[in-house]
Amino acid sequence: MAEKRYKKLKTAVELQRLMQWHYASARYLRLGRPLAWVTSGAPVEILRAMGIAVLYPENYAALCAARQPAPTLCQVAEARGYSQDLCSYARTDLGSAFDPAYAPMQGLPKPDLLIACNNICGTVVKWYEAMAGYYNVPLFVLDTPFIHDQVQESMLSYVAAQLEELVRFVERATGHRLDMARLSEAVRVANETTALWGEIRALCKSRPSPLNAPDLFVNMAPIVVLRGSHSALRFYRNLKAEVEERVRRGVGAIPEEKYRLLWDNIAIWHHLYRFYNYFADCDACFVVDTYTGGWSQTLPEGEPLSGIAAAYATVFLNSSLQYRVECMVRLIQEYGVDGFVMHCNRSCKPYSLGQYAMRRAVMERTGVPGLLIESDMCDARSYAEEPIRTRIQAFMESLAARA
Amino acid sequence: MQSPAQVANTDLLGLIADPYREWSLRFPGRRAFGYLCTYAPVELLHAAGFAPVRLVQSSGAVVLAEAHLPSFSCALARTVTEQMLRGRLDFLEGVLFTHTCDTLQCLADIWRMAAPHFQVLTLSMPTVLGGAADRAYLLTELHRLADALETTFGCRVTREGLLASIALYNSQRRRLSALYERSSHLSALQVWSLAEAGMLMPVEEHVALLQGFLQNLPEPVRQVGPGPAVLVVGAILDDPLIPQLIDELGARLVGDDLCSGSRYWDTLVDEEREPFDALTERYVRRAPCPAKHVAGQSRAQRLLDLVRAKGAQGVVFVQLKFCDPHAFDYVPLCQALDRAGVPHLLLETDASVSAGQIRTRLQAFLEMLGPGR
Repeated sequence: MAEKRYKKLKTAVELQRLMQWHYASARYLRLGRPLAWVTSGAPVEILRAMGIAVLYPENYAALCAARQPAPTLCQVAEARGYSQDLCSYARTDLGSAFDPAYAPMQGLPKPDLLIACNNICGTVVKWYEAMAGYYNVPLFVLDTPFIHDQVQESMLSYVAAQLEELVRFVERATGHRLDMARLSEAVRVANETTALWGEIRALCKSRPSPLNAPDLFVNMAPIVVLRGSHSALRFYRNLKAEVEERVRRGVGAIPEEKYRLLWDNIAIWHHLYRFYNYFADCDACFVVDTYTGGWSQTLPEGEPLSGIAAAYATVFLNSSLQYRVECMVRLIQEYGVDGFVMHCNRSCKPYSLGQYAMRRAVMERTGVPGLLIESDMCDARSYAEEPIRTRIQAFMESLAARA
Repeated sequence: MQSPAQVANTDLLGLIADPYREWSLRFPGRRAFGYLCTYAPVELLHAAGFAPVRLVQSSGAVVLAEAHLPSFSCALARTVTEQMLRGRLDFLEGVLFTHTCDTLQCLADIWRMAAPHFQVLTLSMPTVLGGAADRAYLLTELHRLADALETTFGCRVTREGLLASIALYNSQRRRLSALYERSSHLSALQVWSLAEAGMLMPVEEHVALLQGFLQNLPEPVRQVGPGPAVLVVGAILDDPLIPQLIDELGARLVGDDLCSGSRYWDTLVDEEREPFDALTERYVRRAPCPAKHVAGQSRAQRLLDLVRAKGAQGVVFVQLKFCDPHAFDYVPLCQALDRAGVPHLLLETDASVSAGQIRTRLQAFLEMLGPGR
């Protein structure tokens, strides 16, 4: 049975409790704290230091996809005029706002303010404008210029100036002030947590790899939504201990690891286990990916706002395709990767439009073969099961022939 | 006998239909520099000694670009990449990508990887306009672009040269504005082709062309049918089909909100200020593309103002398939039009949509709008 291919972590129970607590506390236990909805690349440390509760619509959309109602929610948004070609996170969330009856947990509690950072895409700007219009709440857009070449000092000072504006925006919207001591503490806790996450990912360099892609994708949730909190820190300490234990005992994420793969792009949330099990059935484990590492970057020491500016402005998706090729080449070497799979994600243009070029460049540089699969992170209607299985089979056969 | 206006129109449609073939023969002695998005500071490229040429969407088959872009990229990205890969853009000295949407962001890097012989320059335009630091940042970026042009091409961008280029483009933009003022008395195809061609030929020639056209215009008499007055809203309109149909079906095109139309010419550069400061101000304050976020400004209000000022009876959205910023904005714009009781039509353009389908839908919409007012 395919499900047997997935070796459940003991910390899974803790993870589930943590995420339930995260969503429940945002609804029921805010204790008067204002609620911000933020993008996955927003500088949440500042909000924590200002006593603002935060929710992540991207994480919620992924959850909707995993629990299956995402296509229905997408259709609700489409009926309101949003094109089916638009990002499925955006359509899922907008659908859950328009018609919470279809949505898990009856949708997210209404925001008091919205904060979008375009370091992941331009879509979040439009998506958050749409939500700001719908809920009639203030929106702040943090603009991190895309880095085609080198990071420029002018970019960083531009972002740092906007962070000061962000603080004033939150002050105006909520009356809460920025407490610098709390900011330093949030940055310290966030750094300790992201370092743990980085270490956990690095443990997958072991053979066999203690974790597979679904483990990485499921366990990244707290690093995104609870970064800077003590509860996330505790969780990653426990997770790291368990993963270390697997490494010590030589336990792999899949029973017999024969091929080590790299994953590029956001997960196919609606077929998470089923999809990766096609590979596990061929003894292939995804030991590393380009997505979940996005939250292992530490914030530089020193003046917190300029450190935050530098970290958030230079994330993987805000950097050129050439830079991303370098990263993939490095990961392939460091993790001893035999092949890579790119999810050409209809919902994520900045992640996907360059993959044809990147695939060629990475294959040329490393000699490692790459497979491109077109699908969608959230909208299961874009998932063509049989063609995808056929492509995976052909790819795994070609890997076997090389071995 | 043909009127001067009709003569000009025939030539222009020829240029627009195949703008890059024999460009250098058509405009000898000019050094062409490509750009895709009207946030490109054409004044600066001109001051560096180049003739800026916009890279437009074309209708030919996409074959080579299939290997570089997935199916869900817009036809603009796909067809310009096809042109580039086929060598049809080799007359360009380089291409400037300004940061607007996710697609163009990727395309700049894809071109650098697919065609290393091609000079690809980038300008990281801010996305948020009207904030605290956007002007200071854009000013630095414009200076960096000037430096990159100088070091890459060995040219000099002088203050005087830039002021002269600014004055020239201002005169072009003023004349385009004057042309649009008369648009309800002209054929839609005429206005559209004069504006579109301006981005494909050297600005000096375009200014002379517009000047001649405007001088020879007869007194405003309605040349076109008594049909309803419409606005066209969208990203770009690089195909004559829709203006042609508007003429054929007897309607009047009274204005637009397009990057290939009014968003290109609506704001002038202040000639009294230091040129880099003035350019910065212009590109921050120009009518925004939906890929930009302008705090406290609503494109819906701007559209309603335009509808009222132009007496438009209906709005035609020309939506490029897979153009995310416009697809998002379509919803609040429609809501605003609905509240104001202004009918609207969505025409999605893509390789798979036939001219016949567009004609049928547009015809039904125009009939519904009734006679002109």
